[in-house]
Amino acid sequence: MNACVRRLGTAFQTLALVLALVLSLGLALVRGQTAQAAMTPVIIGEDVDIAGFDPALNESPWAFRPLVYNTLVELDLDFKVTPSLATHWEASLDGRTWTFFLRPDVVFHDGSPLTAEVVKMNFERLREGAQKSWLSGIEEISVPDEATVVFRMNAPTFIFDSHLTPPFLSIVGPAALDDEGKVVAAIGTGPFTVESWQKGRECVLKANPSYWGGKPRTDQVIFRIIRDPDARVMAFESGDVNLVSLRGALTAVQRLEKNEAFTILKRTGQTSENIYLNTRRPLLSDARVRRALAKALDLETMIPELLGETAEPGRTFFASGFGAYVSPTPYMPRFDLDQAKRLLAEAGWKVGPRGVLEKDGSPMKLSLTVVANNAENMLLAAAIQHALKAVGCEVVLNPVESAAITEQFRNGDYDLLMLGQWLIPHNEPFTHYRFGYYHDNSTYKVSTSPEITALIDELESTADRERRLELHHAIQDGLGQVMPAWVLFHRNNVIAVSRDFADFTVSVGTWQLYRDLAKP
Amino acid sequence: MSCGLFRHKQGTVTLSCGALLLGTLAGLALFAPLIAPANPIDVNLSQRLIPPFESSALLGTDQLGRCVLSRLLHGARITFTAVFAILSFTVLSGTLLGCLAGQGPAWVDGLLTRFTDGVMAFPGLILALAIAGILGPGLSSVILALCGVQWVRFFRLARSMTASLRERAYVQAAIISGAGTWAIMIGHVLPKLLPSVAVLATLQMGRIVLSVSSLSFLGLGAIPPAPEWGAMLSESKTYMQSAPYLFFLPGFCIFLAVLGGQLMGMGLQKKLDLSRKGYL
Repeated sequence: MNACVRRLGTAFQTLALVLALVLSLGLALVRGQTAQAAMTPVIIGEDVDIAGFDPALNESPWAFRPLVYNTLVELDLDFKVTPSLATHWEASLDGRTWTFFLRPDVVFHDGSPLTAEVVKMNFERLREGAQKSWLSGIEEISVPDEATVVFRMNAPTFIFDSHLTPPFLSIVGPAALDDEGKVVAAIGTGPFTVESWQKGRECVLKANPSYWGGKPRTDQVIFRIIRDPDARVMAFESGDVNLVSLRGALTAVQRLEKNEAFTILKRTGQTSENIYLNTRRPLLSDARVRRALAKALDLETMIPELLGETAEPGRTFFASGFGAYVSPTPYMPRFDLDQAKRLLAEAGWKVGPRGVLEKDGSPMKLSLTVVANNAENMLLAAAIQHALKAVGCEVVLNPVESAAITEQFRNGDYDLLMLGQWLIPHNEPFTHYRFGYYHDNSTYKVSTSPEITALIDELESTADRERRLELHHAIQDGLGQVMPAWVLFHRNNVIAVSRDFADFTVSVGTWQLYRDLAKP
Repeated sequence: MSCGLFRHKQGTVTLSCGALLLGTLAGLALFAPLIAPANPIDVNLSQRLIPPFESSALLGTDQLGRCVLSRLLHGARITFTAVFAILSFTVLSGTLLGCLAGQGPAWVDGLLTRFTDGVMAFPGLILALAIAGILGPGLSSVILALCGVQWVRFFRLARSMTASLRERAYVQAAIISGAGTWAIMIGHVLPKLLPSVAVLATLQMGRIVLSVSSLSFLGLGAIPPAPEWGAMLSESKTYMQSAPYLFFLPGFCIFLAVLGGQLMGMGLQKKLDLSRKGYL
């Protein structure tokens, strides 16, 4: 009997031991998996390598900078102005004095404190550097105390807080600068620190435990440089990277959507792709012709067919991400081939012997300048060439290098030119008209008129938000009448992530694309 | 003797295969406007990316709904036009300058040889890329660039053969009997040169097809929507996974044209027994 009890006891002991082993093994496995999940780095497939550690460099990728550095004021994921290194700020009634109050207890990656003097030193440096044009309105910077910075402007400025949001105006720590004032180390106040950088290969970021917004829950972010959009998507599919922007990858969305292991996240972005019309050329000097040709473009069919989820057809002047600043009146006219032909006939264009329109012996033959190595633009250019042929306009494609297109644009050496809608670095699109394209003193002077210039000038000197919105709408509606550019599409920010990161939030702004990784 | 006969027969078969392949492609290129089922540049967005054999477009449609078969046929036309233009120029200029260098005064020979040495110091395609890059994109730029690079091969062949023929007894006899440089060149040197030049030209054909396609692939050749094979390959890169036929078909056409040129050149070489004679 005793032997039987003993045997039973031994059996129970063995069973308990086995159970304990299995349980502990299971727990260890679960813990290991959890630890692994927490340790999993976010590997981003990126097309452009960082050009150095200076956030003011134009060559650096947009989305890298807001992860390492902060600006005084920044745009949140919804494209709204939000406090960053400055907790609050105020402008004088005349718009000539802006006072920013710094967040207390902010330290740089090297442990040094953020002070008003450091901010002043940064802006003095930025005013002399590559981004000086953005800060040309600053007359003087003063520091009344350790936590306050005052900017004295040389003209009334009513959106200076928005002007300070682009990450190229980030604040770097004093130790980041060498004797000549160049940024030689990545010392910012941002949510991540730069752990390593292998030029042309990858850049590894590590969560900053002393980040003022709380330590990010993502421990490590790796930017892996893969220049070709399709190669990036292939790297994503093979698991080499686990987060990738689908910008420029024309067929990837449809393919990745079918795969349950991946999630496609989409949000309307801030950028648009335009065709600028050279209104100084005789063939395009008549607004009726520009409008008629716009009517020949069936963007509602063309854009979804060719670009799928990555774009929305151009209807309004700006993308919807700009919110109330976008005029509700459609900018692009509706597709109507008959009306297009009628308008062209009214403008004196008759169908010639080869089916090409003619006026005073001149055929309607236009060149469309386009970036040669941009598959998206080349695809659209061929479709537009065909669409305009339907109304008798012969278009010859002129593919050029990306560096040459800006030069041609600046020199007015084009008929039609396809390019992104530039010079809107933040949520307030005033800079686009004033410094970019539509003011007498703008860079590209695509089309200017006394009326539009007067409206832009009034906008510059207007503080009242309601009036500013009215002026924005009036300028866009006015441009809609003149039609100096065709808005082809508004670009969506489309990101593919593996299932582990399905709760990732995509931003409206291009700069803030990966900023959600900073959430604590 | 029997070995020579075998080489001759083998050469005939290879030559026939190459000629048949190239002849067929050239025929298709010539009659492309008549036999192509559709306009190669007509866009139809509702018929995009239809795979081969699934619609009226036999070889499917591309990213803009254009008929791939029609584009390939018209692409052959563009490629063969370029090859014809480049070969005509390079054969004529290279051979004539080579004869002149081999037969003419020493300073002319020195000048031309140093110049061709300079041209040949650069890899052909890199030099062509540079020339086409300076001239700007377009088929004419590619033709000019390749003419500028390819003529040196014919020059070197013609020069070395002329220099060797010059020492032959019948040429020396012609010189002694007072024949002029041009008379010797046309009457005695050129007839001996032509078979070798013909073989080199056929062998060069494949190389030129590849170069034209490469430059177009890099965006320096035919301007879209022109259906050049290299440009078609470049455009279809994005669709490599979703529509691989767009990548495969122009690539296969380039392969056939290169193979045709190579077979014809090899066949001709064997038939004329030139490699044994050490000319090529």
